Amino acid sequence: MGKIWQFFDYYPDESGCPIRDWYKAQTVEVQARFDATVDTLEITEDWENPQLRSFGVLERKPEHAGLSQVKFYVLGKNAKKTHYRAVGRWRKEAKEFIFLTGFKKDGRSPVPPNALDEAARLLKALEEQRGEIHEHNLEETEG
Amino acid sequence: MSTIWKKLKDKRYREEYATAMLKRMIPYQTRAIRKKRGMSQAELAEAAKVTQGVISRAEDPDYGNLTLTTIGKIAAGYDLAAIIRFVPFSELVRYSENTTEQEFAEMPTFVQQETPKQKKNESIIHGLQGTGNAGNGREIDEDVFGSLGLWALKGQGQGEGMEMPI
Repeated sequence: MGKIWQFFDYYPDESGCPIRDWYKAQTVEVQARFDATVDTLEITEDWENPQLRSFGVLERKPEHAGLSQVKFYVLGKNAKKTHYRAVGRWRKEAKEFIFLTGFKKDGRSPVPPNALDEAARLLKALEEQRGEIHEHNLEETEG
Repeated sequence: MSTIWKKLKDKRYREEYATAMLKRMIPYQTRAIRKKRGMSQAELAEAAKVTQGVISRAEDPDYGNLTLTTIGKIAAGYDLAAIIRFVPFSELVRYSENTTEQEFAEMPTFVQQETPKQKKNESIIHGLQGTGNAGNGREIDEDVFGSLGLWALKGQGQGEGMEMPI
């Protein structure tokens, strides 16, 4: 298999997996776009190429240091783009990305508004080695 | 059964996924081949007879409005062919799961593919002429079977239509 990067999902505790909860709440169109973005990032060697707009490191606010995001959009009616972000921890040397949570963008603001603060809280818990990381798989396992 | 295959059972999902992959994989390939060949966007633009802005947009997976004409020009700039085929979803899954950047590093141009074959052809022709196996005035053409290692002798009399494996 030709995967260069590996994706994981973060499970902070027994109550569940925030990125999974976010994914399940999306329409199939959003899910498909997200999966296609992940599938192409998996086989893309250089994520720091400025032409690659599907990935970015959050650098503007110090409280979000250490967070990165997978970026994609879905075209709606009248070709209006709705932008989405799946936030996580990117480790270039390990060639891995751990998903923490996701959100929709409304202009420059995240929806829900505290999504990035929640991501920062999850990152802190991950770095304190609480919870578990599982191989990325947001497919239903129950039933 | 792969995870993606289960998801594709939803028609709306598979339509969206296939469209997204179609739009994303051409920019992915354009960027990967250029990188593997050590070309700048400006160099590719010159070879493809387009502007650098066109290359920049062609490498943007979010642009999504690439025309077949532009794809054809970029292919020409790389001395490669581009094909777009309708395929069953099983092939999309295989493509999505097995594609690597490495295969683009090894993708030969037409000239690179042609050069060793031409040398081989010349030695065959010389060999046949030397022994007279082809007969007087006969032409030796590589047809579509050439790529499979088969040669057709064209001419009159003995040997007409004969295929010679090389």
